[in-house]
Amino acid sequence: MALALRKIRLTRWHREEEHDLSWVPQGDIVADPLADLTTTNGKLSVWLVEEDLSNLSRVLAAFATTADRLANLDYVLFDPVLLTPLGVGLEHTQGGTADGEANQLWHRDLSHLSGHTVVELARAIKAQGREGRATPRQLRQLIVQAGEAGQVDWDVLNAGIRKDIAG
Amino acid sequence: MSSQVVEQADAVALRREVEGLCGAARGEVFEDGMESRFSRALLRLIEEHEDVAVRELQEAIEGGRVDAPVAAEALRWLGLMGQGPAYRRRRRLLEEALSADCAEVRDGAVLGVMYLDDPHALGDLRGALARESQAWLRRGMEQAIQQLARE
Repeated sequence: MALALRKIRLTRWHREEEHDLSWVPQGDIVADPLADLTTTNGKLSVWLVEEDLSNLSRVLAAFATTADRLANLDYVLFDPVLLTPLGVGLEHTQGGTADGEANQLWHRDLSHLSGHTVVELARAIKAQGREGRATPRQLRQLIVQAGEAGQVDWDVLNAGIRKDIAG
Repeated sequence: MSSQVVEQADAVALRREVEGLCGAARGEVFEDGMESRFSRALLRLIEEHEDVAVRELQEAIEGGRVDAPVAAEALRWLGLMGQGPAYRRRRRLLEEALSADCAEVRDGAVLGVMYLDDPHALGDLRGALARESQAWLRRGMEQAIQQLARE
């Protein structure tokens, strides 16, 4: 079973380690992670990553090409099984990165996301998700490799990313 | 008016500009690697005023006059500027911010240092790692140390 990958900002998911969140009711979470789960028409973009993570590097490289600059990429991986009890759908849609094949194969939209469901999703991801951070240097190497392998289309990379890759 | 008075007036205006910029960015949702009105304006200020702008930013952050998410975003962009205006001053601010009270600001500093990719920061990073109590942030610091140590 593949995993779902969502880009996040790690610090938003770790407030309880520094701040007194005793005011948050039992079973609820502080709202900060919701900033990483902003929907459009009740949909949320995710990427599918094989359970053995064999395509993780390629997905990260593809994703990194959508930024203005080569920065870190914080992400969380979670089992899409947790979507079922929430009534959240998983639709096969086209991604918008410089890797056309990755766009076609691994991009998905979570669908039917209401306000309540997004909160539940954040809670489930926080409880079960696996976090990671790809560094700019790692991403640079992955994009270069993907370019050499003909996976990333250099022509659609924006100027900031090109400049950062050139060093 | 003496040149000293003019300089003081300029410094006050710049301080207001830096603090106004940071204040206006309060509540903005930032995304790693994505430019924003805030990042563009901050970079413009540093390109125009160099060390003085970075000093004002540092004083505003250390004085608690900048919200943590905005301070963390500013630190990221100080690193993303790479080589360029006020390099040493930016690097010094990033190194000092590794000891900030707030974890979000420390993370911004870790990333800024990582973007700058300058092994001079290794000592401060190692010190920050020795002090760090939050596991997720320790991992980030270890990644940064690994990167810089390979230079």
